[in-house]
Formats: sequence, structure tokens, C-alpha cells
Amino acid sequence: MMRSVFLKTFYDQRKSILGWGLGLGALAYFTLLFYPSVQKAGEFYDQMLQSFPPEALAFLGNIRSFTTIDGYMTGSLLSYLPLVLAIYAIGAAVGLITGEVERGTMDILLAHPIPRWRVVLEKYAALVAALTAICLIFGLSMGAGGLTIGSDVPPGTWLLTGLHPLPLTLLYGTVAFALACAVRGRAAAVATATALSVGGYILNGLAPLSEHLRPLEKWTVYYWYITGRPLEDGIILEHVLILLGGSLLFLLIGLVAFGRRDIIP
Amino acid sequence: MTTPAIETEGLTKYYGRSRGIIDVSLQVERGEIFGFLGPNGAGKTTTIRLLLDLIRPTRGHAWVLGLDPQRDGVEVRRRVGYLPGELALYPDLTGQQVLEYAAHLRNGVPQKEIARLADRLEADLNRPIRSLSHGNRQKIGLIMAMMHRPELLILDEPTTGLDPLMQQVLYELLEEVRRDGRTVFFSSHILPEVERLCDRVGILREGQLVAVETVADLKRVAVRRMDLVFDGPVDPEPFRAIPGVREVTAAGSTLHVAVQGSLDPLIKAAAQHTLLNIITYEPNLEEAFLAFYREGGAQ
Repeated sequence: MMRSVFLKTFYDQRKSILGWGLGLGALAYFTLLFYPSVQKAGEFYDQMLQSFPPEALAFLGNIRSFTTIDGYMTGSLLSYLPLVLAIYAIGAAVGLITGEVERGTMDILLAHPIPRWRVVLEKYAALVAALTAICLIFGLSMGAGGLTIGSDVPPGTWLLTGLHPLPLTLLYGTVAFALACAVRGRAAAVATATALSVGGYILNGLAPLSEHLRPLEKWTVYYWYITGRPLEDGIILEHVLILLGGSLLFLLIGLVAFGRRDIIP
Repeated sequence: MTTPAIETEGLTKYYGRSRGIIDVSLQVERGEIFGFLGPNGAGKTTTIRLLLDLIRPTRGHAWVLGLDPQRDGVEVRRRVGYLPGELALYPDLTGQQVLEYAAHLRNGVPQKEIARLADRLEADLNRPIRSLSHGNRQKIGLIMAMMHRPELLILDEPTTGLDPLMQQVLYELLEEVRRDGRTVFFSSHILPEVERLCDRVGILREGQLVAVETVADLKRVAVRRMDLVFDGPVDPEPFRAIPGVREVTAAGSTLHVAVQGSLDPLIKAAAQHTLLNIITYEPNLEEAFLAFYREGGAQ
């Protein structure tokens, strides 16, 4: 496990990966266990849904019904999952760079014959691998929940649903990562990435309700996640690519910035 | 012609408005042990971090083994071993794991050399870093810096935390490095270790290189302080007349003396009386280079 920066970084995150993966996985599994009873009382829940103000519905991912498995899972978990996962992504991203600089171990790392860009890329790859692992555990847990309740959703779709929050969460993490590469201290990186994730979620919820806010909807980045529905219509590839493109852009910014900065513990 | 191990030209670093180093021009030859001296905050660590490309100069240039640390950083670091002043290692890993990681980053290092250094420094490689004392961590850092037998060793205050016995072992290891024709550049604020090891020293004060001298010259001007304890009160006057003696104060049967250069005349004069004890104090670096100014030795 000490063979490369990537492997060591991934190994260092093993406990967090398991903790977050199993925690979110358990949440998904138990949420699914309640689905049959919600479905049975479908009319009651849908009436309740109709009584919700549109503002509240917007925050539940604008679901149309609680009685479809997509509506139920989106409303009760998937609409806000990237926000929860962003806590891990932002914390890990900043820790990988700023943490190592502040502790002074970056000095040791960069005193070895390894270029700075490679340190950044290997650490980023470890972040992507960790987030993917958490999302896979999450998807597998939903698959297990689906089997338990006898759902007809195929296992591959559950996995895809588990992986669907990955591009958005990765974008939040990459913004934090790029800022950690560029500036000293944690505050700027954490604050900006958190503002993007939470602010984007709120703005996206409010945007459809106001003429003034509507043009901002697509800039919230959250929009490019919530419009895809792997359990119902499948993912929207262009939206996924837009999110991944955003991550790539911020990764490049991080690479350039880290290559130029002073390393001061 | 071989290039110098280290060469800097007008090397300057500001952190925002605060001073790091100013116009440092220095040449360290291959095969020498060069001591980089100065009080804390003088800019020793800044200079070292510039040589390793951890920070970038505001002005001026540095060459390490003839290479530009910014352009050829990977090659420089392949051929250099570095011990930071404030060594930080991964607390959850054992010494062995830390060294394995470092060895992989160097595309392999002979295990035999790691074992030899660990044996010489009596380093415990099997305990997690977090359970090691400062001195024992320092040993892991030293092995990491030396295990690939670098052409140039850059050590920032290497004896910090080492017990006197291990300091001696380190001195021997560094002398071996010199015997192999390799170069050592180390910072220190302890004059005796510099006297013991170095061929030449550079003295840094408030970010500026104020002198580069041979150790012999530095010894010549170094001021030593000592207490001479006699069996009864002794007249201090004759001692004041001894060449090299800068200060004499009497307190009961003890004379406090500051002496520069050879101790021989002072000891001979003291031996005229019944001398019970001599207590010596570590030579003061600040005094040493202040003496340098007085003698016009500063460059």
C-alpha cells in the first residue's frame, strides 16, 4: 500500500470510505424497506404531496408521485444525497492537499524525485476512487434493498443510481481541491465549495418560482444532476459530461496553481 | 570542470512584505561539509527551501549540482537528500513503512543501506511514528535523507533532538559522506558541531550572508566563556593583560573570563594558582560573528 502516492492516499481513506459507504448504504437500504407500505398508502401520500407548496416540492427534486420508486427514492434520499456526500468530498479534497501541507509532510513528499503535477494527479485519482467506492457501496445497498422488497428494478439500474450523484459530488470536491492547491489555509476552499453545493441546491429549488432567478437555474450545477433520473428515464449523458467537464476544468486550475505556489507549512 | 554542489546568485525571497533572505550569493564546493550558521529567523530554512524548489525566489538564481531546481526539480531531488528543520512524518505508519514509501518514490533504494543506517543510528523501525520521541523520529528522517547515498545532503538542523551519543554517530556518518567525495550542506546554530565538522561556514544574519569563512578563521575569533574556580580569591588584573582575554570579572574565588583565540596563555596563567575547576560554556555564535565584524572579517 506504500507503493505510490495514489495507493497510500487511497489506503489512508479506507476507514472513511467504509464509514460513509456503509452509513449511506444503510440509509438507502432502510429507506427502501419502507417503500412497499408507502406504495400501499399511495393515494394518501400523493394527496399530501399535492398539498405541498411548490417551493417544498422543488427541494424534493420536483417529484411527481411518491408511489413510483423513482419519486419515492428521489424525494426521500436522492435529491439531497450529493449535498451529504459533498461533506465528505470537500473535507477529503482539502485534507489531501492543505492537510498535508499544514502537517509538513508535503515537504517530505516533494523532496522526492516526483513532479508536483504527479502528486496532484495521484491524490486526485485517490479522491475519485474513494468517492466511486462510496457510491458503489451505496448502489449495492440499494440493490440489496430492492431485492429484499422484491422490486423489479434490475441490479444494474440500482448501481447506476448509486453512481449518479458521483459527477456532481466530484465537482464540489474538485472545486475544493483546486482551491486547496491554489491557496494556503482551509477556510477559502471549504467555504467556496460549501457555498457552491448548498447555495446551488437552494437556488435550484427557488429558481423555477421566480422570473428573476430562472436564468440562474442551469448555473447552479445541481440542475445537471437532478434532471437525470436513472430509476425512471435513465441518466442524461450530456448532463453527466457537463459535470465531469467542470471537474476537469477545476482539476487543471489546481494543477497549474499547485505547480506555481510556495509550499509553506 | 565540475560545477559547484550549490551556487546562488543574488538569491532573494520575500514572503509578502516580510523578509526571507536578501541577495544571498554563495558557493558550496563538491566534497566539502559546509555549515550554514545563523540565529533562528536569520533565513537558513528559507535558503534551503529555495534550493529544493519548495518555495520560489522573488529574485536571483540558485543552482544545485549545476541544475536549476525549478526547471530540473525532479533530477535535483533524485540526487539530493533532505532533512527538514521541522520534520513531519506520517504518525500512523511505522518507520519501516515510511521508509518503504520514500524508497518507492525514489524507484527503489538498496535495503542494505537502510539496514546499515538504521543499525548505526540505533533506529527502531517497527514502532508507529506517533509513539516515537522527537529524537527517534529524527533518526527516521536522517535515514530517509541518506538512504539513496545522495551526491548532496541538505540537512536543516540535523542534530535537533538527538542525544549526545547519536550526535557523535551522525558526525561520523557525515564525515563518511565527505570521505566518499559527496557534499554536505547543513544549517546549525550550534558552534561546536560546526567547528567539529565543517570545512567552511556561511553566516547568515537578518536574511543576509554576512560572512563565508573557513572554520579555522571562525575558531580564531570565537569567544569562549569560562569560569575558573580557585581555592581562594585571585587578583583579576593580571588576567586582563593576557592576550585574547576580553573580559574578566571576579566573584569570590571564581573568575568569569571571556577569551578569544588560543586558550594556552590563560590556562598557563591560571595554573600559577591552585585551580579547582574550569567550567566552560558553549561559544556564543552571535559573539563569534560580532567578533568577525570587529576584526573586519565580514565580506
